[in-house]
Amino acid sequence: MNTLLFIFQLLIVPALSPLGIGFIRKVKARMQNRVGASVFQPYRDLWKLFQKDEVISEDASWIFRFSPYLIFAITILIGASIPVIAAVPVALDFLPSFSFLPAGDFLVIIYLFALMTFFLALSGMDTGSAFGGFGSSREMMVAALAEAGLLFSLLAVSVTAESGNVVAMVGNLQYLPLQALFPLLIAFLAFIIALLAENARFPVDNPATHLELTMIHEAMILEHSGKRLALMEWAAANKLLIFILLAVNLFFPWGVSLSYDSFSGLLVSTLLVVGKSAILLFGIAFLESTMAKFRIFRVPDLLLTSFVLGVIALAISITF
Amino acid sequence: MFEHFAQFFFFLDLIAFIAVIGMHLVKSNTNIIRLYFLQSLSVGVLLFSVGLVEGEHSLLWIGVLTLVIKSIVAPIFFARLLRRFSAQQSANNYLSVPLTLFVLLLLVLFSYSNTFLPLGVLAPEALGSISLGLASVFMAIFLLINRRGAFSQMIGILALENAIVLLASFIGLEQPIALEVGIIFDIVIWIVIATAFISMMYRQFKSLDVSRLTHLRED
Repeated sequence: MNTLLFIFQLLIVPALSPLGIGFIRKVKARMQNRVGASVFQPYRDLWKLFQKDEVISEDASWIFRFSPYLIFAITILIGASIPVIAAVPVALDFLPSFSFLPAGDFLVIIYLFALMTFFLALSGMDTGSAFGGFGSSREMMVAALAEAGLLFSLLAVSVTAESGNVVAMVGNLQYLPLQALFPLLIAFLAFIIALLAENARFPVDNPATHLELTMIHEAMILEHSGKRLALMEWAAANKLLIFILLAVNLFFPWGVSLSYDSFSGLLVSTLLVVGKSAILLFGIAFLESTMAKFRIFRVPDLLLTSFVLGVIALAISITF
Repeated sequence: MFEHFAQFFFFLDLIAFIAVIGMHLVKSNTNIIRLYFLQSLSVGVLLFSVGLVEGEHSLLWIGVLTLVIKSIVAPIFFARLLRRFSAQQSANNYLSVPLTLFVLLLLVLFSYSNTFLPLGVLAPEALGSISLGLASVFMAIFLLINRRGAFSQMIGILALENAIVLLASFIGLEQPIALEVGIIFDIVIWIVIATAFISMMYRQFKSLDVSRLTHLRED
């Protein structure tokens, strides 16, 4: 039984992440009075990319060839160590010590994402194309500034929940009175800004364009093709879903099941998590349809807002 | 009885607090009015619900009056004023956004520091709300200092007044109804006078930016 749960935990994020992207694209298309592609289109795109041949520049080093696998693996690892529908650490039956629990510490998660960004930026620069270079330099600027907001918003949650592990945080938060969770509203605002910046979404980056003035994430993966591009795209989708799940499960922890035993409990928790995630995804799509992208030099203001909101939330939740 | 609703009151306090932070960050006067509406709404609802919980008719009436004057009449009045001067966009800070945020952070930390711990004696069960209210008061004062536009400064004073009402209601300093109604009446008069001044200023200088007032004009 535990082994099954282990495999479920491992596969659930990569299995559902393209659906999240498809949902955002569908909502955006609807808001622009288009019918839009089906929500399953990202799956077909990935399938098509996996069938295609690859072209790799002869100047590319091992970093270019190796980083898609590393980046994808990191998202799988983090996806397996965060609570999805139940906040329970799972381990293999025959190897109980092998668990994803240590990777569920919020600092580990943040720095695994930093490692991912690091290799993404390196592989962008590796082939020596001009696009990759500016994409990487912009990405490192955004990542360095977004990290503070991400860290402090999660730190506020961690202090409130008196635990550093995201799985334990969700469990502990459910036992706190409602009043103790209010400061987390401010932390949630900080986290959302960091989410948009980390996932190359509006108003920091435009995920739907290859215009050289605006692209950040797309510029870095411009040289990739075929299977490696598929892995990169899939990893980006995983990252978005992981951030969404962290946002809904940490800041609105009600309904997340605390055991795998009761079927009805799991059903309710699945419905709630899907509902909350859909609301958040809709919010992102709404934001992307209604606001313009910021100039790159206004992005630091936004990310600093995220940082200060995170520290204010921390100050309020410490003294509370 | 009061303890059961403490969560709800703290939530309203938090909304007002977030509204004041937002007033420092938004770029357009229209959004400042929206945030002022949000803050007034939470203050009015707070007074009204405290009145309900404690069964005091005077607080109920003051809550209703606050809701009507501050969150309905005043925002509509301001929105019309802005449309007349077509000044929807002129909201600037003296400090840059990062510095503004840094000052806000310091103000919040200051109001949560031990300096104001003695105030906790007044209402030990609502210490968090008092600190939050103090932070709102300081941030509203800073809004007055930091904004360039006369209109934003006017909203700053009103936000300060809202924050003080909020703080006073958490500490438990309710006044007799005559005095409270008098204060609200004062605010109405104050809005009218400030509007008159702003209109005169706009007619003379064709701008609501107070830093332009240093250049004298004769015509």
